Amino acid sequence: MQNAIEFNQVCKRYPEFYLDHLDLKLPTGQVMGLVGVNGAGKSTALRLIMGLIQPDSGSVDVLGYRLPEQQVLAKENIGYAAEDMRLYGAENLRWHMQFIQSIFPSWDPLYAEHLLKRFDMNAEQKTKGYSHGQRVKASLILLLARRPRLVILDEPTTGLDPVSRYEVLAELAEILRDENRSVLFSSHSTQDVEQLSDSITFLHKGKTLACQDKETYIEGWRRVLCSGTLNQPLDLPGVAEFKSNGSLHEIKIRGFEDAMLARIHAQGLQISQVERMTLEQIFIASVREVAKQ
Amino acid sequence: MNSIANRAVLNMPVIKQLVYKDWYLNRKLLAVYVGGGIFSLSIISLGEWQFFMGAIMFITMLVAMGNHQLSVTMINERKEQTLAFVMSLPVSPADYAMAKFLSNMVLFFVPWSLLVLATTIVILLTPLPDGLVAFTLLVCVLIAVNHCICWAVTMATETEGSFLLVMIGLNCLLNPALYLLARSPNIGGHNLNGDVVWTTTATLVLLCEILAIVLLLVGTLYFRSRKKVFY
Repeated sequence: MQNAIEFNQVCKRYPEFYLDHLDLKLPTGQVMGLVGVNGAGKSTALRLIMGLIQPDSGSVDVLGYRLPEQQVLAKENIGYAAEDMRLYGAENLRWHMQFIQSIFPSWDPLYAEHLLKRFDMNAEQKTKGYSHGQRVKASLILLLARRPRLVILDEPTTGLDPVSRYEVLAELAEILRDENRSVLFSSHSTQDVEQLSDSITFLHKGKTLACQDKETYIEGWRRVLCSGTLNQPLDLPGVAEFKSNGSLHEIKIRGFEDAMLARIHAQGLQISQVERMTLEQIFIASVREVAKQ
Repeated sequence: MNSIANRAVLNMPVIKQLVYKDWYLNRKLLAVYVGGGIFSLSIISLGEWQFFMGAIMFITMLVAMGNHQLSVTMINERKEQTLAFVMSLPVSPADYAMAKFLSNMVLFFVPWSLLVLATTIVILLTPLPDGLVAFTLLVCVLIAVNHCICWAVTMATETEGSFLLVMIGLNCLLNPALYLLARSPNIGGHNLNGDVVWTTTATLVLLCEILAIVLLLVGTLYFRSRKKVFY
């Protein structure tokens, strides 16, 4: 299967930040969530995908085109919306829709009208008066109605009220039904990523902490609660976090296998609970583990 | 939209839309300045103080028209974060540079030409001395040179600070330039003449001004088009 996005050993250095040999592959038709705290490198990665900046080394290919050299050809099939993107305040959404339609022959006017209704948007209102939620919805209408093969969203749900967030996520879930369309979206919200994505990439301080199929990745983590006294440090591979409170212990394990429970037991601990972890718990454990190192 | 796999040429259909967009967004602004320019010309031949007031107002309109549209089309696009919207379209930095070149030149030179033509007609058809034509034309082209310098600096630096600095500097230098042109015996010396007098000095100054415009525009466009990325 051809990859919609392919990063090979991409480096980009700024005075305060270094994107460190990023490898990233988004297969066609898949949805990838890019998760990271502020300054993790999400926006840098998205700018590389749009051809707005040039990597210091490595290569970026999007929809089969080398970037930034072939950015025009790639962007013909990319729909991009960023949290800090603004529309022309003196004009209304209808004007913006006509402007986009004049550039993209793939513009679908019926779908645009459907999205206007679905998002409860007034196309005749000047965009200057839009709330943050309306701005996000307007950007989504402008990019989705041109039916791009690749959708790039930078923090699409940040700052949205619960209703707007629900509407945006529902529409995103709808467009994901098209198996020829690939989506990459960055978010602080692991909940949104868990809900929508097929695969996840965790970025932290310019490094990739994980890049994997979501289900497999989540399945590989466990939170184990146990009690007892440890006479020596716990000898177990893949421990991302180990916390003790008296004789009670909490172990967060990466690459979990059932045999590990027997190994914990063999070191004198009584296992009381074994839980699957949420993406948020996994992300926090991963980031804290790196911070400790 | 052009979809040739290995495109090295500019994406002209999108550039055309970007130019139209800038024209559309600035249409009211241009109308105000053209209106102001025509008003200043309407009073310029009514008497002595009206002449000075009209002349100053006319120059102000030309200068402000250029600076204001540069501010709206280039500086504000960054400040108001609409540049990200433009960059998400299928354009390369070279396409963007060409679009900004075309839109800023059209936005300035179309109303500028109208106003220069109107000024010439007013001078020739009213009691004002026809000898003013050469001086007026050279001043108008000088204002166009200043506009092109401001455009070149803004395109090269993409910062509001440098734009403001150059704009203020050029405005300060405009008065000495007017003084020199007016005091030149071969240019300003014929201002009160009843007929149009076009001297070799006037031709030389005009050619220098035109050469400066061409060099500024071509040079800036060439260097700006070589950028592979926006940031």
